[in-house]
Amino acid sequence: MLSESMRRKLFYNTVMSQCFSSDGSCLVAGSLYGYVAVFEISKILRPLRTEYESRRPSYHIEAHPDSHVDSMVSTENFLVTGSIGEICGWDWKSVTSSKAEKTKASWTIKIPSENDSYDGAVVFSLAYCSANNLLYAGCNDSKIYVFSLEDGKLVTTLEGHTRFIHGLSLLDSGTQLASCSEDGTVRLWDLRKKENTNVLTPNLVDNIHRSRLGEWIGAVDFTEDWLLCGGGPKLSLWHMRTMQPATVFDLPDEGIYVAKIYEERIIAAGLASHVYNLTYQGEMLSSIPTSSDTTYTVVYQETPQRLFSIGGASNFLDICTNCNYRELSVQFAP
Amino acid sequence: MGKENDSDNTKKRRKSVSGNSGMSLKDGDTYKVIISYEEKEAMERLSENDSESFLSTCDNIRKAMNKIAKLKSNGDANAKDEIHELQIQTSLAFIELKKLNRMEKFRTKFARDSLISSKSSVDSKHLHLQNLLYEVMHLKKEVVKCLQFKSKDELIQLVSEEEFYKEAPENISRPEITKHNPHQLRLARLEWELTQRKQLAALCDELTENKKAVALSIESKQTRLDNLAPQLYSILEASKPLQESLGLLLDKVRQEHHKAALLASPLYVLYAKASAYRDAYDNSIIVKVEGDEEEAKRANNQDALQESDSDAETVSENVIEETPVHKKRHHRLSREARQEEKKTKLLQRHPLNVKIIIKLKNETKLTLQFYYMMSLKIVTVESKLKTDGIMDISTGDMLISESILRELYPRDLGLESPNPANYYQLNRYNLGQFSSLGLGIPYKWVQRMAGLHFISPDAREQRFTNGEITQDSVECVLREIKRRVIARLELCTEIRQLEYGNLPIFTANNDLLPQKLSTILQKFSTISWNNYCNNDWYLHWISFMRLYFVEAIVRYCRTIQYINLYFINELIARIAIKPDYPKIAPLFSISMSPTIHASADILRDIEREVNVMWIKQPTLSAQLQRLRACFDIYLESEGLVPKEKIFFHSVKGRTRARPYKYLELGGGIFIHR
Repeated sequence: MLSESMRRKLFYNTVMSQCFSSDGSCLVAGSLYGYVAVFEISKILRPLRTEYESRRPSYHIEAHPDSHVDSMVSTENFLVTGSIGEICGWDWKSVTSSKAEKTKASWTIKIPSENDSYDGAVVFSLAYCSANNLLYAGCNDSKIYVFSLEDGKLVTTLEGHTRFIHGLSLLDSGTQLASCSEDGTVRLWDLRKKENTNVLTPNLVDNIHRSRLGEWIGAVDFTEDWLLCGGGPKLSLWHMRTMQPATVFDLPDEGIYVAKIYEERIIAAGLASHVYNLTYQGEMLSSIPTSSDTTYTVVYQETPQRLFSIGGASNFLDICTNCNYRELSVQFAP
Repeated sequence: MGKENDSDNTKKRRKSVSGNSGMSLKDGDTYKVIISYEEKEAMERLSENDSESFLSTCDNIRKAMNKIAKLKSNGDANAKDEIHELQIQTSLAFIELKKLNRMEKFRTKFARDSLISSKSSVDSKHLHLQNLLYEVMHLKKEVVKCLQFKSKDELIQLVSEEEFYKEAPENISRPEITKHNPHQLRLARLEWELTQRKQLAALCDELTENKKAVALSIESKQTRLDNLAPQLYSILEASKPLQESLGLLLDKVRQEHHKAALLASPLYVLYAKASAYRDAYDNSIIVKVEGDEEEAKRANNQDALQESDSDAETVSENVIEETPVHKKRHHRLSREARQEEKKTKLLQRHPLNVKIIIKLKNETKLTLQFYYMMSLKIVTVESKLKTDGIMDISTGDMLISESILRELYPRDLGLESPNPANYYQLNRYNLGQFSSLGLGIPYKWVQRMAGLHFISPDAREQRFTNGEITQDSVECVLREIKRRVIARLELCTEIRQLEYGNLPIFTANNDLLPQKLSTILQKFSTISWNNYCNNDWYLHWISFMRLYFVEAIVRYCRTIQYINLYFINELIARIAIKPDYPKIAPLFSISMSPTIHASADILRDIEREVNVMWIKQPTLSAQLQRLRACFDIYLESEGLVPKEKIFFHSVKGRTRARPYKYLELGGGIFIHR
């Protein structure tokens, strides 16, 4: 039986980040209270035996005590979590085994921070390129650090933003990176030359900006041809070559935290009680109701099991096996 | 030949006529005579002969006619006579015909008459037959009736035949007759039965007499004993001054113990445990037995009786219930009255109760009165809290003793009887919920104090309480009550202070709180449950643990110029305080004035900060203080008011959280969690 204060604490839990294990058998989520929950996908998709039973994670790891698990990414061998001042790697083998609860981080990278000790560099966003084994970390101090996972050394730092980084997006080829920030800009980086190639400021476009919600850009994603971003300003799709907005989406949201381009479609979520599934032209394909008022993370995988997982400001993750409706909800913590 | 016959006939006829003429003359009616004669004649003659003579006569007529016709045509003069002769013959022949005709008529009539007479005789015979058959049937019925007749003696159970022969005297059994005659045997056995019964009746009378005599002797002995009592009392009375002078409280204690002995057993257990606790730990507690002793004695006796014949009672009860209510109205009324009586019996309390008075500081004391429900077999408690302070209206039901004891242990609301059987007992008389009966409150801890244990319908709870059972002695409960009352009184003063707008100053604690704040407590008031529920999104949390609700309105107010009439920054917090306060922190649910466009996330963050982010369970005032700080920070970070606090970034992280965490560095800074 949980104590009253524990129940209250969990009521205010927020799922900050998610990813899938490298073999696709597990879903991993990180919370505001520094916990990482490991779900075995085959287990959570199994029907419940009784009414009182609820779907729970298989393992619970206290990854960053007294901190947040703000971001995570999956590499071939490791689960990489980003928190205050550090990035930790966790061996997939132990994370998905019964010893998970006692696992210690396999390696830790400290983020070089300035003297400002009370406001250490927090890793808000992570991106990983398997081609050259590089890890990109968007941080609190407006910088993007590039680490080599071979030796854990800092390769380079991309500077340009003036406020903290909300999100990163990497092109599959590993040649280009997009970042979005609280300062209201989206920057494109050429990774070979390690320089800033383009700066977009959606807030300056008349039909995109929403002064009430601010100028921050909460999410970005891009392909060779298109770039999707949104935040305080409305969700918008930009043409990569001309750097002009092609479509502006009118969603009933109070801020965008998730924007993804997936199979020629757009998935968007944020401060709204639904996750939206749209075409490039702005046509609504479906809207999935969520357990939380705000969605901070949406992840998906195709193999071995097609799965969407939505996490946000609640103790529940919403799972879809199809991007049209919510299939079930799982508890992050008991 | 025909002629001859004719002549014969005529001769005969004449003869007969002349033969009878004498008679007919006498009668004066020749006609009748003739008729009777002719009838006779007709019977004698054969109809075949008549038909032959008829044919020949007809032939003669025809021949004569032909002759006449021939003669006339000849026109012979001689013929006239011959014709005349022929005419006469023909006429005679006609007469002959007529005669024949009459004969025939007579015969026909006769035949008809004889037919009718024989028919009527057949009818009468048939009728007779029918009568006889009916008679037979009737007789048969009578026989059956006779056979079916049941005699009274068949119902009497008799001793078996062998026993009868063995026991009955010779003059009654008379074996020589009865062995062969079953009827006589029966009579004899009946007689034997009668004599035996008479003997038994006599014996019965004799025994009753004996009984009366014994009762009389008992009574006389009882009166003698009773006469002894006053003497003993006077001796006791006389010994009192001696006891007092020796400083012995024997009598008082004995009286109390004597009274306690009359308590219902669960209350006795409670009394024994509580007085032991008093003697061992806490002399300030008063344990007493109250109530009418005489009535208790009576109730105890009744109880014992009831238990012995409870089976019989239930049977008779069933019978009564089965009798249909159809006859008269007063019948029904009495039934209702009976029902009412049963109801009161069901809800009867034992006349003695245990009173425990817990004295707290000053004049504040809590009185607990424990009652035993005789039929429901549970113990209930009534409590009264006496405070010395002024009872403020705003404290509402906070100090009502029921609310103090509510949920002394988790889930123990005392709304329903812990004895699962009572549900059915109460339902039978449509008495509804136990709490509506006003018989005190059957908390589970009360049952445990009295040594009663019931199976809980909730398996989870069962598991839950089992762990606690070790600490469930009277001692723990009393300590818990004391702690609860003190906590409640403190809460009361805290709330009263807040209502007057006095925010206490905090000294160093585990959780640091800023002191200099712009937001003030504008209003602090009690609200009802319904108000609290209004657009509340986590109702399910508190529904069964609610106790007391307050609403706090805080307003940002630095200098006058910022309280723009059109632009007041206000935050309303609805606070639910649980019975277990301060063990469990109050729960804040907040909303902001519509001029501030705060998203659900912002509210959630502030609520998390106020409700959850504490190292130790906070007090209501501490939470309010932090709420004020959070509101300041939110407004400042949002740029709605000028920045005054020290923080590095207004928002941080993907959640765009505000720096709500306070650190005492320099003048105090705020950082993000």
